[in-house]
Amino acid sequence: MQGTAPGEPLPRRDESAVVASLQAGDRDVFRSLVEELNPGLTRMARRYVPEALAAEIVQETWMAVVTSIGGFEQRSALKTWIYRIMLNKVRTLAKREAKVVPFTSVGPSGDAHRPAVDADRLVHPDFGHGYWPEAPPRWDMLPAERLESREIAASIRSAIAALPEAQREVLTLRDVEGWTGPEVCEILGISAVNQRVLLHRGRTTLRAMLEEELR
Amino acid sequence: MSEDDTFFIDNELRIACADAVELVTEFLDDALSPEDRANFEIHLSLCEGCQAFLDQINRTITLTSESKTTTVDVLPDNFDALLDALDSATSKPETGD
Repeated sequence: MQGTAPGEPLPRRDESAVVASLQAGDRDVFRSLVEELNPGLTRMARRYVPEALAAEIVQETWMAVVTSIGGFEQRSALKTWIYRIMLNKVRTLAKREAKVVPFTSVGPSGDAHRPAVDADRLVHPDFGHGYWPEAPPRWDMLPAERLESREIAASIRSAIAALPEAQREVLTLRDVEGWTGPEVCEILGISAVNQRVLLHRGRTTLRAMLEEELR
Repeated sequence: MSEDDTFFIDNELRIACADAVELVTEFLDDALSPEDRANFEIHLSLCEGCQAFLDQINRTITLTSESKTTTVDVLPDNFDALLDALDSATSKPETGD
């Protein structure tokens, strides 16, 4: 997952051959592209709208890919282009449906400056503010069944759903789908610094939730 | 503990825990400046609290990737329609007869 150092220009694998085959209507190449990207696209869409709607949006996305591949000029990676089509559709829909989709508006927002650890947790009796009074709980001591339980996985999924939108997008692409930092910056059109701030907020929110859960 | 002792320990740790916990994602992305990285690593080597925090973040990342739902179809329901659309979108218009 590490690979390229985030912030560096994204090395683009040569996709000209793939794009040319798609533009020529090669069904096998199209099938492998769909097989590669459809699960991730569907999971991402489900972060915005309920499952049935997500499936519809992804189908519409592929239809848009098929009808506009002829004009695709490779100014971005193929994957980025396809994800952007899906994100445009799903964001528009999520906004329109905001009143009936429960999770889009739930959760902390505007918390970009919230610290990774609550300030009152970091008060040492001798060193004062900013230092752990005692180490946080050691999760490496917990039984694997506890950490890797279905309940924990479900808690993580609902905590991701409750994150502010920008954090949810970055965290999903980086930590769920395993994309690199530069890929996420390209697809969401954000800077490397912003990408890491959002990722850090998302991760530390999930960590705090897990700490409560595993107490 | 006297103020001198506190000052000594503060120097030894290089940065406060409150700062170290904010650098974790940059550290894991290898995106810290050499100076910040050195301070972070020295702090970490001396601070059990931040070692446990880093371990928790690493485990959070692993658990997050494992929380991925697997009940996703590899092909969309409209795949046949997509293939037809691919044919018509990419075939050259018939000019004959």
